[in-house]
Amino acid sequence: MVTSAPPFMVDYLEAVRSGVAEAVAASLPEGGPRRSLYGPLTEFLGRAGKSIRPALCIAAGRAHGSTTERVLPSSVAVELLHNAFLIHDDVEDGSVSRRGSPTMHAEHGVPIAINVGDGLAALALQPLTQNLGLLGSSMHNRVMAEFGELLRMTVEGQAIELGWRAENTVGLASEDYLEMVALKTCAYTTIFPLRIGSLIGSWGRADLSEVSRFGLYLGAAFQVTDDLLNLTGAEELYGKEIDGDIAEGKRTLMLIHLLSSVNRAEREFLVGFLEGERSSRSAADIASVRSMMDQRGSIHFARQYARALAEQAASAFDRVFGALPDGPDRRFLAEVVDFVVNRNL
Amino acid sequence: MSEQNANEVRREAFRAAAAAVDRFLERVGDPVPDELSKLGVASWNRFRSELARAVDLNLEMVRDAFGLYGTFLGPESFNTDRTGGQLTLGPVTPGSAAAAILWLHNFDADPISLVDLVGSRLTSTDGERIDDPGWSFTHSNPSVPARSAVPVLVEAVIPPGTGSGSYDGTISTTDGQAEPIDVRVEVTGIEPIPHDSW
Repeated sequence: MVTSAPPFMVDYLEAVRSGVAEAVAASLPEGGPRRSLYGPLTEFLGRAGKSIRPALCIAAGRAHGSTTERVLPSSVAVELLHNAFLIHDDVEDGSVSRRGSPTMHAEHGVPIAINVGDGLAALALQPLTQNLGLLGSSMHNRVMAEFGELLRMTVEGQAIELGWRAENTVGLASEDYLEMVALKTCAYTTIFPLRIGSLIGSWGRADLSEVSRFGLYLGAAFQVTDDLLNLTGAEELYGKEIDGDIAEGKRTLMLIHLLSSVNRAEREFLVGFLEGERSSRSAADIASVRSMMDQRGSIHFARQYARALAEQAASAFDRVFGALPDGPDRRFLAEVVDFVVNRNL
Repeated sequence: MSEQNANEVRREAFRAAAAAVDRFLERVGDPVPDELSKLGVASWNRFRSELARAVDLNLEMVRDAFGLYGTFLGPESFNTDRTGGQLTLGPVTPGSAAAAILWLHNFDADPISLVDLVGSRLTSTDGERIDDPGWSFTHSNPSVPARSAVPVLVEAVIPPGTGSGSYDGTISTTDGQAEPIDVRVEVTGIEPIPHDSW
C-alpha cells in the first residue's frame, strides 16, 4: 500500500504489486513444509511493500517497447530476491520490525528466518527459467549475467557495510557511503531492475551505462531518504523501528556527516557508542546521537544531499528515456525521481 | 544551513555520485577488448549500443535502397495498364508517421497527367482497423513524362493506441484509371498502455 504518492504513482505501483503477487502465488509449490517455510514465506510476501523494484523493471522494459509478459518473470525474480535480502538483512542487523510487523527472525527464530530467506532466493530462480522460452537463449543468457552481477554486487555492498561496523570504521566520507550504497542498495533496487528491463525492452540496444547512471542516482536518493525516514518518519507508515539505524550503528550519511562535524569530546562519545553491540546501546545514548544529528545539521545535510542526487537522476532520465514515446511507463520513470525523495514510507 | 552551504552540499553530492558511477561502471563487467581499446573505445556497453544503432540505420538505408530499386524495376510500380506487388511502409510506432516512395511509371509514348491518389483504410490480419491512416501523397511533378517515372512520397500517420501488426490496404487513383496497388503498414513497438495485461 502506498499512501504518500500522487494517484498516478499509487495506481501504477498497485497494478505492479498485484500482478507480481499473482505471478509469485502461481510459482509457489502446493506441497512442502508449511509451518516452517511456506507459511512464514507467504505471510512475509503478503506484507505491503512498495513494489518499486519490479515496477522499475517493468516500466523500463515497456517504455522501450516490451510487452509486460516479457519482463514480468525478471520483475518477479527481482522482488523475490529483495524479500530474501530483507530477511537476511534483518538477521544481520538485529532489526525487530519490518513492514509494520515483527521481523522474520523475531517471530520464528534465526534458523527458520535464514532458511525462509534461502527459500525466497531459490524461488527467484524459477521465473528466470521462463525467460529461455520467452526471450531465446542469447537474451536469456544476457539477463542471467545481469542477475549474476546484481547478486554479486549486493553481497559485496552488504559486506562493506558489515565490515565498517565490525571494524568500527569512523573515518568515512560521503564518497565511501555512495560507493557502498551503489552496491548494497542501488544494484538490486534500481540499477539492475532498470538495466534488465531496458535490455529486454530494447532488445540489447539501450545504452546500459547510461541506464546504470540513472539507476545509481535514483537508488542513492532512495537510500538516503530511507535513512532519513528511519530518523524522522512515522513508524506506522515507515514500518521499521524509528532510530533503528542509530541503534544498529549503521553508517548512514547522517552519521558520517555527524562524525566529521563534532568536537573531540563528542567524537570520543560517538566512537565509544559505535564500538559496542546493539544490545549495549542504551535508549538515552541513542537519543543523544539523534539529538546531535539535529544540532550539527546532519539531517538537513542529508536532505540537501538527497535532493542533489534526485536532481542528477532527473538529468540522467532525460538522456536515457527522454527520447522514448510518451506513455504511462515513461511517466512512471520520470515521476519516480520525485517519489523517492518525497515519500513518507 | 546557509545557501552557500546548500550549494556546497550539492557540489559534494554531484562529485561523490559521479565518482560512484565511475567506480560502479568499472565493476559492472564492461571490459573493452584490446583491439577496440586501442581505437579509443572506453565502454563496451556503449560501443555495443552505438553499433546496434549504426546497424539499424544501415539496414534501413539498404532496405530503402532496395525498395527504390525494386519499385523502379517493376512489380510495385503502377500506371494505367500495369499493376501488382505491394508497397510497404514502416515499421512505425503508434502516434508517428511512416513513409515510403512510390514510383509512378508511364510506359506509354505520351505523357500522362498525375492524377489524385487516395488511400484506403487499413486492416490487420487480426481484424483491427485503422479507419483514417492520415494518408498524404507528395510529388513535385505535375505529370509523368513518356516512358518515365516520378516519385511520390506516401505517408501514413498511425493513430496512438494502434496495436502492433501488419495492416493492409490499397492506394488507388481517384479517376479509377489505374488498378489499386496493395500497401502494407508494419506497426511495431508497443505503445505503452496502462497496465496492459494485469
